[in-house]
Amino acid sequence: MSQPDEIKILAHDSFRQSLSRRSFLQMGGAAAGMGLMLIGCGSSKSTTSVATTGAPGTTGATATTAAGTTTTGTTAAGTSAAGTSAAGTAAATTVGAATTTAGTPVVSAVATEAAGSVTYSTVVNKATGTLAMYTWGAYNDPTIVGTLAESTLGVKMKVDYYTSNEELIAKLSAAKGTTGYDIVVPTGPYIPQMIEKGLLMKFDKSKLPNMTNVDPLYLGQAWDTTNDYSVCKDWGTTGWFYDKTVVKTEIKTWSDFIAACQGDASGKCTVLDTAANLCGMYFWANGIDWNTEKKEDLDACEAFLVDKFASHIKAFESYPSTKLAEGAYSLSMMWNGDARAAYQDISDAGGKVDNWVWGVGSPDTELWMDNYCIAAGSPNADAAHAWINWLLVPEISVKDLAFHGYNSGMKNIGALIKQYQPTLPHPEMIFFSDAQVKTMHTQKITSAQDRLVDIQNKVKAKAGG
Amino acid sequence: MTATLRPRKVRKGFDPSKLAMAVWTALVLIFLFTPIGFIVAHSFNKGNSLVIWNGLGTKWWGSLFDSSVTLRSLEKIVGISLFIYLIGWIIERAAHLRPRRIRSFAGPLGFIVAVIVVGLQTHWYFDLFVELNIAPAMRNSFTAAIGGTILAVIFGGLAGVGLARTTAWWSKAFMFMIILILVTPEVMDAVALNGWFVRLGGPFSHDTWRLNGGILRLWVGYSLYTSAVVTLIVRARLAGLDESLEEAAADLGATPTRAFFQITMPLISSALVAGGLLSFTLCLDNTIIASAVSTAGSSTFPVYVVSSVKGTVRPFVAVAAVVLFAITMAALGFVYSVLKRSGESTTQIAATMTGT
Amino acid sequence: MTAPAAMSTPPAAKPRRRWGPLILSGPSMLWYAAFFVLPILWIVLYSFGTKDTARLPVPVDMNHLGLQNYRQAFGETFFQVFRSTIKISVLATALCVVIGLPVAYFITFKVKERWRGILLALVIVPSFTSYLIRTLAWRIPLAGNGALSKLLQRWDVINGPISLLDSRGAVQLAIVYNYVGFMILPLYVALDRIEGPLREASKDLGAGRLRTFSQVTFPLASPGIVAGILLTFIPMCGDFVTATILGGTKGNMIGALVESQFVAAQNWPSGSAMAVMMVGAVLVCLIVGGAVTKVVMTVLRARRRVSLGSLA
Repeated sequence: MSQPDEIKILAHDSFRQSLSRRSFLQMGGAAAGMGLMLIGCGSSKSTTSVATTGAPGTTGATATTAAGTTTTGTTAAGTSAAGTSAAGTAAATTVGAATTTAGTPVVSAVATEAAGSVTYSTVVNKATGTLAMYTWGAYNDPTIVGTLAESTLGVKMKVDYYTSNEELIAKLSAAKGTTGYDIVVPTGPYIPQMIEKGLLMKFDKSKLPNMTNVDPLYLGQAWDTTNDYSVCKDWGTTGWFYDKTVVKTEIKTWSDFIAACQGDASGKCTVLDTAANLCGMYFWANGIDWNTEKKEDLDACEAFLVDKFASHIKAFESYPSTKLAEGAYSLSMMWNGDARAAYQDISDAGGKVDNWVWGVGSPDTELWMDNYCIAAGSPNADAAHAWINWLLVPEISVKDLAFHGYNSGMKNIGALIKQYQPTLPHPEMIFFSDAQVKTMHTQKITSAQDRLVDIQNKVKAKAGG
Repeated sequence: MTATLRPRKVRKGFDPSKLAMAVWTALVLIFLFTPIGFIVAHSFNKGNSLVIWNGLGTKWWGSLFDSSVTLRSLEKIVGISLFIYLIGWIIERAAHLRPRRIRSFAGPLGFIVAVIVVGLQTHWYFDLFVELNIAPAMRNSFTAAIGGTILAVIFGGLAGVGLARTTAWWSKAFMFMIILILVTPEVMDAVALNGWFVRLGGPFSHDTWRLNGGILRLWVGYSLYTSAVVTLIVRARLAGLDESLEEAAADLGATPTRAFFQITMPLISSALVAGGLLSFTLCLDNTIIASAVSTAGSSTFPVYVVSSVKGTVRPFVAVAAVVLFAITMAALGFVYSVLKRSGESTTQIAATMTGT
Repeated sequence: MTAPAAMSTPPAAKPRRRWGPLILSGPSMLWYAAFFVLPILWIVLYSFGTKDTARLPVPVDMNHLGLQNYRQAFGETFFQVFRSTIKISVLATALCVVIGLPVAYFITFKVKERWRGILLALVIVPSFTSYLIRTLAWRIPLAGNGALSKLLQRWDVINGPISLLDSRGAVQLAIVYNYVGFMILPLYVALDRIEGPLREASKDLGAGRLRTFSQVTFPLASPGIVAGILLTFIPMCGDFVTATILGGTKGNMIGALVESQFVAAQNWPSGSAMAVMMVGAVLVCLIVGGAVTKVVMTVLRARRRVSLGSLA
């Protein structure tokens, strides 16, 4: 009983038109268009397979030989003592130049160079496949997460960015260890809760022989005393950065900073977009412990920030450097590396660099340390170890440092800088005197955390009103 | 009543209101194109920041086109397209068909075939965006948008036909639900879906059959709003058409399935194309849902941009945006020509595209 | 086909026609139930719970239900942010109508068919670049060292560089920019459906241009205006990306507050309560707006009827 002809007879003209084959051609056309897009984006698995087959020595590429481990092990013992003394100024280390040749299956270079009092381990392990890193924005030299990683290690990097430790934790815990990330870069105080929630994978330290290159000062921190889960990526501090043609009185302390915000730079100042730093500014200025949990401290902080401070803020910015160069602000609370980048951005934009002043927070300020960790359920833990280990090679570490502008915590870093980056601009914004370091404090995650976020929200609401 | 003859004459002559409106429209169009002009200009920025102009340079475009792979691929695409176009032309000549009958199809067809062939051969599109890790983000954007669009067209198409052909009590409730989906702020959807996917787990957090869990989340997340849009468009398209056609088909003994595919489908095909296109661009642009639900390896281009906004946005983002724009425009032009060929008026096209 | 056969079909067709649409709509209904209704129900449920970050992956303790989150969210912060959000959205919607209506009117009535397509295309085309990039692009002219500031300085309008960024004005501008296209299209469609003769008739009856517009064209276009308002106002209320990019502190929109509760504070219950309140508040705004419009329209119509009556 199927008679398409009869249907046609019943249908009126316009309908008959649309019944024609053309309509199906349209659908075909649309499908083809979609197909075009599909082809245009390709499939991840095919590219992955290309990478896998393309890299030489697929099996066992990252396995460190027993000999290699022992070598570096002894080095570690030898250097930790030498490192703490930190006597060797011009340690003429001939590290770097990883003598890797493509196709070397096992440990490609076990070079422990000892010169003067400092010895560095420069093991570079090969790996394969893709490596997914979840990190802070613009936090690695683009070649180190790109072409150089591919040519040196044989891994294709994939980098996503987060903007707060909370976001990182939320993402990781939401997926119950199946996010697909290999390397994450949390800030120290957040590590214990991440370990507790099972979000991090224990290091296989035999694959991280270069860990001995890290200054012991930055190992064994409170959040991970044995460095089983984390190793220092870099550390930095918080200070201010201002245009002295706008802010006439020199800023020496956080109280001066607050006064400048309320005065000369009112409506032109920014603060970091984290609750801890916003409230920290008040606590530091008033000699209150940054990690206070006392209700009266928090109440006073809220009262001051909401009623007296909020209306002067122009923006909550964690990375104001570019926008400073655009001419958007005159005074910013900033992390040292970003402030250093601001000098570059300002000169790039044709601004007057000499007008801008950087200062480390005082009388007290922050010391934060970001750490390389491996996410639980990491799909390519071998590559993750290899990459982290590679980043602990002094030459690479310093190259990265030159990009992000934070102290990467290598042993005898001064000598390394002299060797690899003799013309590094603004070293005073990366390396601090012992007296300065003494005033820096590490944040603790306390029961006040929710209250701090609440205060921040209130300040934001008030500032926007 | 003598006025009856006058108005037309007046309007033929100088019309100050028309001039004023023309100027206004021109100004609005300039306003609409201003940022795009800046993006194109700043993609030729020599400096390291998208926003801060630091002199003219093709450095960032260079990172796109220096690659010999790209050039070779472009050559191939042009070659294959021309070849197929030529064949079309020869057939047309040989068969004495109406001019441009085949050629008008051969052009786009040739281009598509060329892209597919070259795409299968090399991975030029992947190499294209290797800079700054933008390649995976671009790929995810397209994969997610295509999936979301397909789901939206399927669900929205079916529901649109259903809703247009009934006045039963449930249809009102269903319409209410669709309106509710359209009016719910995206943030709400985003946070709700994220929590829900976390709770569901399964394929939404594990890669199943090589399908990335995050991409699946994006497909589902995108399909909600867009399928509601498609439903409205399809429903609007059918509402103006006579239901008697399907009844006639039924009277003539066609099975419901047959009637659906032979009568209803052709009727709604243009609405589906328009709805699909609208969905596709909505998906491609989606930021809020994407940043809430995406996981490793499923961050899309907007998510990438949002995270780089917090730091320095490189001019390469502008280059990528211009390329993306060109691709979208090509798709748009293609669909427009398809709609135009099927005899839709400008108004109808605009109407179907906005779902009114 | 014999007559009896044709007669016998309708009863058979009837049940099919009743079930067909339901079957067609079925997949969508299930889809929405699974991925829209249920997730939002969970959000509503979470809003009564308490925060417990020890629980994974959902950091909510559902054992102690209560209204504490609403009590907390009902505070000043929420309404402060909500007020500024609504202020921006309402003004932006109004600006979209004011900017978009002449454009739509011009395209519909004042240009030839051939130009219509081109103009409409020109209106749509900008929306096909990435929304984020377009917003970001506004930073270029608005920056203190940007084009506009330099131009104004050259013309001696201002002395030093001014930064228009990170202000409510910048957010307002970008939001209007991003949504005006979504206003013009429905307006165009609505205007285009008004039949020419109707307007001609109005003119023939002696109505002036303004009168024809206000009493014939405008009322007939009102469905389009309503559609346009719905298409722009609601997304604006939820939009926080524009504000984040251009707004500085002045861009603290309600969407950002909700998002910060979920991400930064990991406080799902509080975020859920805020999300529920946000949707509620937006709906209330729409209902109030709709009611006011209806009352005004009724009053106007009543007046017109009276005047007509008196004429008769």
